[in-house]
Amino acid sequence: MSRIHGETIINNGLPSYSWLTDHLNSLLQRRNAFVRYAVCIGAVGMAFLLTKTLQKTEPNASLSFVFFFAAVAVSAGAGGFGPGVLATLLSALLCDYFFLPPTYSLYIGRGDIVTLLLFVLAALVIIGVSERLRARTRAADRRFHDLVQALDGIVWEADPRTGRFLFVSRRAEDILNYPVSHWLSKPDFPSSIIHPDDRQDVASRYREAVETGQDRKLEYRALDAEGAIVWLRETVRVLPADAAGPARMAGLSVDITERKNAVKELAAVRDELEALNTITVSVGNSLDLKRVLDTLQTELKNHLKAAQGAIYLTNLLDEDLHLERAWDDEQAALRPSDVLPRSSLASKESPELEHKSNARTSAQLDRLAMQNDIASDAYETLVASLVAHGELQGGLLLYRHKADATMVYGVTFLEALGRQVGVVIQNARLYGELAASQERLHLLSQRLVIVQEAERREIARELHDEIGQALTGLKLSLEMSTRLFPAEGEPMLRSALGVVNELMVHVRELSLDLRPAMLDDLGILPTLIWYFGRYTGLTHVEVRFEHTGLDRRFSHEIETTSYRIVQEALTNAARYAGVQEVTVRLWSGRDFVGVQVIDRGNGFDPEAALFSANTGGLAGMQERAELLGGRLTIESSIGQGTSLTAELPLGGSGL
Amino acid sequence: MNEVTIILADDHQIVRDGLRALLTVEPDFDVIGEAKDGLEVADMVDRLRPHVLVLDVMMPGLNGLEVTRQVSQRSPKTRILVLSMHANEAYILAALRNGAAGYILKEASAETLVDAIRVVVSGKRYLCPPLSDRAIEAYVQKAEASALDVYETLTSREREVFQLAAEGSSNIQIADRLSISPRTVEVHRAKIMQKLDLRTQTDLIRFALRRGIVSLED
Repeated sequence: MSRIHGETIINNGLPSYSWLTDHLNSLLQRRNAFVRYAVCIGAVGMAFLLTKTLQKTEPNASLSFVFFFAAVAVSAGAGGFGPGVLATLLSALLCDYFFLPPTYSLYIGRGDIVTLLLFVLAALVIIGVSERLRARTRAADRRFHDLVQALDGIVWEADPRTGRFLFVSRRAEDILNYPVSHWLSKPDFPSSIIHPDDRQDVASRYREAVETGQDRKLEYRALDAEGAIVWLRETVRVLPADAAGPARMAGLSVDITERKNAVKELAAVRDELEALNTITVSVGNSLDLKRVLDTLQTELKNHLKAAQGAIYLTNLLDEDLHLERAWDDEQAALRPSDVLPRSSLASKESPELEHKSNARTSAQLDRLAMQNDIASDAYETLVASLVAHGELQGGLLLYRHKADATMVYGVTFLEALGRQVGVVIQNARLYGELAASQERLHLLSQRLVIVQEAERREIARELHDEIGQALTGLKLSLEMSTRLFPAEGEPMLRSALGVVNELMVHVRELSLDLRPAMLDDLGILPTLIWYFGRYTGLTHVEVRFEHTGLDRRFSHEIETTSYRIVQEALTNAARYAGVQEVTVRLWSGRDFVGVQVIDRGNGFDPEAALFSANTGGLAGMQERAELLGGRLTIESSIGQGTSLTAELPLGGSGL
Repeated sequence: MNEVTIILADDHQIVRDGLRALLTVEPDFDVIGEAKDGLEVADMVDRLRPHVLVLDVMMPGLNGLEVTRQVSQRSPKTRILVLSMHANEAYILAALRNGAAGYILKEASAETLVDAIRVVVSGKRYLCPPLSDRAIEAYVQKAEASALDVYETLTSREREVFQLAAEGSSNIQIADRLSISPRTVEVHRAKIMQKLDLRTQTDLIRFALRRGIVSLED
């Protein structure tokens, strides 16, 4: 069909409009049979008249053939083989009748037969030569024609004034699925197949080309017979009026749909990667599970346009999936079930992923979504299992409105997302567990400090108040007895009294060691002064005591902590430092109490000491300081002495 | 000789009984009341107006030192003899400052107690040996705020930072010099300002100049 139309145009169409044959086809080759034979007869007639005229002036018979040879040549050249032979026969007949003696008869003399035969022979040679020339021209023409038709693009020509198409190459039928005749016969057809959004633009580009006379390149969407979009890249050129005819517009339209699609796909892949990257990075910013889930929810909403969705996490106990987050921005009745059986999302070995465009088409998804009454046709469902190191961490169930689903997220994407987010979630969970157990340990060791202090206070009080008072009573009774029975009991009672006194001192010391009641009664300053006296008495290490701002009471906790830190540090100094003097500084700043114990003794490696099992009470000191929201700084190195500084905030939270 | 009226305040029955037994041996002593709770002592003294209140420093309800203060205010004529287990100057000082006339240790002998009561009734102060005015004096001295140089309390790292900061180095320059992070320098700096009670960079430089840590010539 297309072939016929193409041929028709080239061979039978209006010659002046065919730009194809502009410079290559001679006029002669496009004559029809009638013209060809008319030319033949005309040429022979002309040769006859010329010969006739010539014979009147110079009756030389041999010359007559010259014109007839010309006539044969013209006929063969213009009309081909048929007209050539006809011209030869006509010429032979005319010569025989009019010019070969006897004239006006068809009788041929013996000598003339040879002449005539020679003529015919010569004429046939001329025909052969001209036919060969014609064939060559025709082959060139055919080659060009084939080239145009074989071109992977639509070649067309139109009248710039009327907009009518004059020629459209066959390729148009392959690309757009319409017969070429549509372009040529229906004036409105060409613009009707341009995508409505591009129509305006294409028209204005054509106008530009016509007005400026310059080439224009444009890309636009056309619609093929099935209504599918075909991207065309077109070059338009306006050919000025010339010998071949009036001005015309020629164009070459190439189908770039595949390229466009490839670009689109590439952009889609890029968008996917970008979304994946953005989600993973922002989700991975935190190690706190709650924040990870919050971020994940936000990111899924923002980047995947998941208006509704649910995040499930694997429960470590029953291994089922438990709902952690659910959102439903469009109120489209997403009712995710609280618990999903593990098998609904993935098997342990190979996490299974699905990407379905309709929740109702998948029985599995229906199970997943449980009572979801979602308007399925309007929504697309994305399901991804969150996997880390081959272990199922949880699952995502996302619904997005199809209108929002500009991006297509494939299985590969969901798989990658699930793996990345899975690892983040696993990390957050592990970190959470670690943090929790560390927190527990910390609380435990703080609790230890508190309990120990309370215990000491209790025992100290018990010793001092109960036992001490009982001993006092006992002592008074004994004294009473010595008075009442001075004679017989005196020595024994005296010795008993001595024992009781000794016991009283002992109990008092014990109580003071555990926790001086003074700390509660009088505060840190008197207690420290008392303690230093006692310390020096026991260790022979002098204490240089510098203090300021202590003429007030501090909170129970601060006084206890300061006292314990000083006590511990002094004990360490006496035990390890090998010094004769230790400096203790105590001061209260604007919002904290500072405690410092310095010796110029042996020193130690604080890092090693803090982490060794035998901490010399350093860890305990640190625990006490931290308990009050303060901090303990230990500066020491072997041979350089030790400086221990604690800062305890006055407004400290305590516990 | 006038009778000496006495109130005993101690939370332990056995102690009160012991004391009463000891004191009633003295013919001119008359124990007119016993209290076992700090809160009731002041009222009882107010009511009975004894010459002497023998008071245990450890009392439930209200601390003996606090009872001393209240009684000495409300019944200034009653002499208070504090009975204590603590042979400690701080306690004695606190008791005396709160208005006690005497301070006696529980391990002291009965004779000492009787002596002490007689001494305080006579209007003098009584301190049970080994306690003495001199020891108290010594304690007061110790307890007086010494000239603590707050600068001394800076750690050596803080001193390095302080010096560089006083010389005008920025946090980044300091960090560079000391091979620590600028953030750490910032923390140290804040700590220094807090410790030395300084508010501005000018305060810091002024402090450094006054201490001779930097000089104007530099």
